[in-house]
Amino acid sequence: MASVQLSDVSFGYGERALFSRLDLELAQGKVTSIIGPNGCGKSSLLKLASGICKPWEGSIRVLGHDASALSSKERARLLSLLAQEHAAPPMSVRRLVECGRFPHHGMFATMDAADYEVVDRALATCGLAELAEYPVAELSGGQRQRAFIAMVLAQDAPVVLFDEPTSFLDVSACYEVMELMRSLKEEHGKTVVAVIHDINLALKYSDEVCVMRAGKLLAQGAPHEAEVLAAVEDAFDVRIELLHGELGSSYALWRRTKR
Amino acid sequence: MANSCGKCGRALQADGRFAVAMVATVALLGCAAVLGIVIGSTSVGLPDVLALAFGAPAEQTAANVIWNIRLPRVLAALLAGAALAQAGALIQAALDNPLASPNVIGVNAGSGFFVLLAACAFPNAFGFAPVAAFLGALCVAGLIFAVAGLGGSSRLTVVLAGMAFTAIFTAGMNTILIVNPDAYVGASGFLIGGLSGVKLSEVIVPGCAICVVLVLGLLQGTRLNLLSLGEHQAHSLGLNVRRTRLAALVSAAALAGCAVSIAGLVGFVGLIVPHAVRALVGHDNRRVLAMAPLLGGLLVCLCDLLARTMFAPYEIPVGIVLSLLGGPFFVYLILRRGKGGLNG
Repeated sequence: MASVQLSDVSFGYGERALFSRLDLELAQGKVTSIIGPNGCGKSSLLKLASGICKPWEGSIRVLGHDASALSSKERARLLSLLAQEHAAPPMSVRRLVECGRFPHHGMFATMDAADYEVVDRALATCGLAELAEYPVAELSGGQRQRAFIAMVLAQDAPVVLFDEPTSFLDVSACYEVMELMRSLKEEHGKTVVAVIHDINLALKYSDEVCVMRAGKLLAQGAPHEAEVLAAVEDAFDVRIELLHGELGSSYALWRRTKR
Repeated sequence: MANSCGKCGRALQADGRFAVAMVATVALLGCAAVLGIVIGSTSVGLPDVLALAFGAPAEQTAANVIWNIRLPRVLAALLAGAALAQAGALIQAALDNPLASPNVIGVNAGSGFFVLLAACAFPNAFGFAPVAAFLGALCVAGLIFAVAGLGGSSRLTVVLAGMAFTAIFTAGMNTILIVNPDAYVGASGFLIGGLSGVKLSEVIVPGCAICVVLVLGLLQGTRLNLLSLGEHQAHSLGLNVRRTRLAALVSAAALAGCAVSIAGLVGFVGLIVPHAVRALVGHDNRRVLAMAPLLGGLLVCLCDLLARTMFAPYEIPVGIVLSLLGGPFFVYLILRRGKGGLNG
């Protein structure tokens, strides 16, 4: 069963269609990166999957459930999204992480002992136990992103979507966030889907890469598959040269090509 | 969590501060209410008040003054202040805009227009003013929501639409006043805003409505907190963003409508009290929505006391006192902004 499945989806903004009859299936239990140039529909894909936008036509299934038939809270228990832009909310880190428990509560219920335990665990996993009572606004960019990831962890949905989690972060914070994302899969068994701007980060940390251009899926596969790399070259109008380092990592170098 | 006990102190401190602020405000509210009943042109002694409160026989004049003049007035001040303050807190949270308040989104202008319209249509029926005010407030809330829905429900859309509706309804009010000056006679007390001559019978129905909506408002704190994470993030947490906004705006309109039907067009409370409350107890909306009605009631009650005693035997409308005192206080809050006084 796919974690997120789009069948025959058409969607766009205003009159302009972005996707026409798009089919896409994201595997369960993997870290999948979605890459492509600006405006190719990466973020729109996440908005459709998380129900922020509704498709013009076609159907979207989340873990086998028809997304349009789910209530807001039911959906939030299956799938969570870390949005790209979030203002620093005027609350402490702990309160922010407690927000993640919202979909597990009924109309009037509040936090109980089990909820507090989940929150404490999420804070510890993200290395925030020390910072729990600090206002979110006082954290650095990387710490703030970790706080939001802790909130998503507390939401405890099996599928987690990230919309450009590393933008605005410095290099070490980028790696920290990417490693945290991988640990969501490896230690917590989540399916992780992320829109990533930095192609090297995407290639390094993903099990699977989807390459998109202009609302179409060009290729989907393991990061260093020839087909995927060819699609990346095509999508960004570049030639790629892979450098293999001594520590076993590889790095993609670019040269722009004229079309 | 043994390793973070030092930090736990911060959370406990916040809880303690909230409890102290609540208790202090309730105590002050009680004092203000008693002062409001005791002080006035006819002197009423504390013994009379106590006697009435415990059902003992009291002096006839004092009993009359208390039942027919002072008590309705104090109740009206408390209810109107509480309603406007929570309405402001709800609107500010729903639109995530610190400038929002019932008059900014046009609720007051809408109420005023409907009251004038009612005064034109039914010149002899004064009882229509509260109903018309309420309908006006609700009508504006509906219009705002329709525009927000059509315009992509951005928060800016709502504020701009509010300004447009204020302009439209103010123009309508002025047109009525020029074409049919007689309407002013029926509506003047309402338009200036004030609490003189409030009767208990006029307070009861809007008062009950205010109490019910205040409780409904209290229940919206958690949802409005989620809204401060941003629309998309709130949606992803399973919040129905649209319905949450609608509930907050409609509650606020109902509260503001009831308040203006009691006290006329007093506006400033809805803007300043939520800010003062946040400076006192922080930004958690569950607390702000609980604290705002208390502080709002206290503020209007005290200002009304000043309004009728400062220049006795003359009386100035409470709205004027609120602006005279509230304005400088608001400037003070703005200047404290950098120190966490006024956030956003």
